[in-house]
Amino acid sequence: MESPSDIQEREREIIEEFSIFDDPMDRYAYIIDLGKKLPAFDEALQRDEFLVPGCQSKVWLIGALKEGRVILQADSNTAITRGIVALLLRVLSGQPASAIENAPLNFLDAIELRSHLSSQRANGLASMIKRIRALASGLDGHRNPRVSVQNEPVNDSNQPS
Amino acid sequence: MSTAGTAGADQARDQAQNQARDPSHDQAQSQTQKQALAKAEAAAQHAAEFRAAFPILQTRLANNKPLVYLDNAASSQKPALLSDTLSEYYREYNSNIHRGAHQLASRATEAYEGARSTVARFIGCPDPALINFCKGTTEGINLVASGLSSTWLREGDEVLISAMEHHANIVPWQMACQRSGARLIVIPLNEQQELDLEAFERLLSPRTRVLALVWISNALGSINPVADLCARAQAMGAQVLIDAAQACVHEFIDVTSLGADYVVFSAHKVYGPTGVGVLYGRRERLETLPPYQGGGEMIKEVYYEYSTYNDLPYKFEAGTPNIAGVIGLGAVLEFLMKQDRVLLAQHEQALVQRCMKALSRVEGLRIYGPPEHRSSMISFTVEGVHAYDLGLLLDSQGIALRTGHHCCQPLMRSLGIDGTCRASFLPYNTLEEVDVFVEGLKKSVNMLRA
Repeated sequence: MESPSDIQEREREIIEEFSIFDDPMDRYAYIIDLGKKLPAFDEALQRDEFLVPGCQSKVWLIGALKEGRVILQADSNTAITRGIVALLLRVLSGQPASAIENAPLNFLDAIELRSHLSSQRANGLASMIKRIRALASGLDGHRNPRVSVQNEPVNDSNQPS
Repeated sequence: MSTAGTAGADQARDQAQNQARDPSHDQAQSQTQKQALAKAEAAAQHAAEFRAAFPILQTRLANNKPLVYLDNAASSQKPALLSDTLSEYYREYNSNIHRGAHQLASRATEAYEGARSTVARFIGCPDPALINFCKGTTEGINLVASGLSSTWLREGDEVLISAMEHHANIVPWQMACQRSGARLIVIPLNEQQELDLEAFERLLSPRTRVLALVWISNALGSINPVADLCARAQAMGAQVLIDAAQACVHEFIDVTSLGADYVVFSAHKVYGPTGVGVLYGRRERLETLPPYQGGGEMIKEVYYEYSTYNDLPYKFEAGTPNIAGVIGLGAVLEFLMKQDRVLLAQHEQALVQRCMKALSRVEGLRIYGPPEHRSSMISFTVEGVHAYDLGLLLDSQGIALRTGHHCCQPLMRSLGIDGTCRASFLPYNTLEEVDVFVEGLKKSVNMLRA
């Protein structure tokens, strides 16, 4: 069983993994690779209603509650964004909603991700985080009707092995 | 790093040597080769001197990567003399123009009106009063479209635009049509992504009251035969506006031989500051066009019951204009007109040719726009690779270019794509930069495909 401090633990792991890269190209190669390992997203769920607004790339995001924890699934049509999505899911998926809502997500600055994005892309990243938090909060309070489509069991293979 | 001059010469020398080894080349041809070599050397040398005027091009980005600036179609870089001119204005003679009764105002007015004369000379306009300063191409087009919607367009009239217009030359006309009841008609492109001239002939009719046409497409690099189309549309009784936002820095504009009723461009595309645009209009057109904004400067007399308007060019310059910016544009154009622009254009074409050739060898890469007779921008997509990813990876290597729809959503839709990557060149770019870009692109594509 995971404790709420897992978010910080996962962030620390990511910061450590990224600390070996000097060249931004290597960092991007790693991000792209993480994106490729993101679990397959059902194409039938690539629906406009699941799109995160405000992203230049398309990002689909859905979530379900399982044993008190929020399981997130997401995908993007661009490789680097898919990698960034994978990082967010690795930190946040499988956590209790309250932990997701309050996570400071310092790792994004620590791995110099935000500083390398244009303001438009940085806004897209902010939109993704906002959407994840809203999803978590909605699932927690059972206020979000959109999640009702998510009846089938979701595996939580987003998490680091 | 060697200079552009030596690289250009190297390339020309290689070509000359390769062809000299071929025994089928006779004496006359080798003579031609020598001349071509000398010309290419001169062009590259002049371009290297030109580059030296732009300090920003020496910038090093994150991880000490030298800046390779290939987003010139979005905005050109500025020579040091622009910031010197702006600084001189603000430090030495900052003042409002035209009405001040003091020495600073006289100097500022003289510099501002001097810039108007310089712009007139730059576009072959004999009368500086026909040069109206505005914020940019977008505002210039809005000014004309708004005026024509109340004085020229009526229900049943048609406004002709092309399928390669920037949003700035679509939306103002859409709004003018909504206000006047006119219809917006779009000239399609042919298979080579040039304007379909047969369709133009078919669509042009006595109902055509306005032709609003881009000279050089910012998304494809296609060059339209504007003078010819302008004459045909005017023969039908239409007024013609030419969007010269891209053309102002690549073509030699002569409004007299072009014959258009209006020509619009932005200062920042031609090495000048942002926030300044130029609207040229024929006198009879500008005199009948209603003012766009009311306020200071544009009036003669103001009563509560009515006002009378000032003469050209002040009629369209309500409020305090971008004085420093206009003076800066004047200084930049003086500098540009001292260059051998034919030689610079030759170097620019050498850059495009080298880049086109190298890109055509990248697997799955598709170049948009016509194969021949194109301006110096290359819009492309790579199969299986998203333009946004490419843009980010190139940026991390110091290479700046544009990705997306280039403010041409209807065009992108008709091509069946979300957007493209666009590399665009100016004469201050070097042949080495083309090579760095192509290598960086290959590296990025391999990474994304792996």
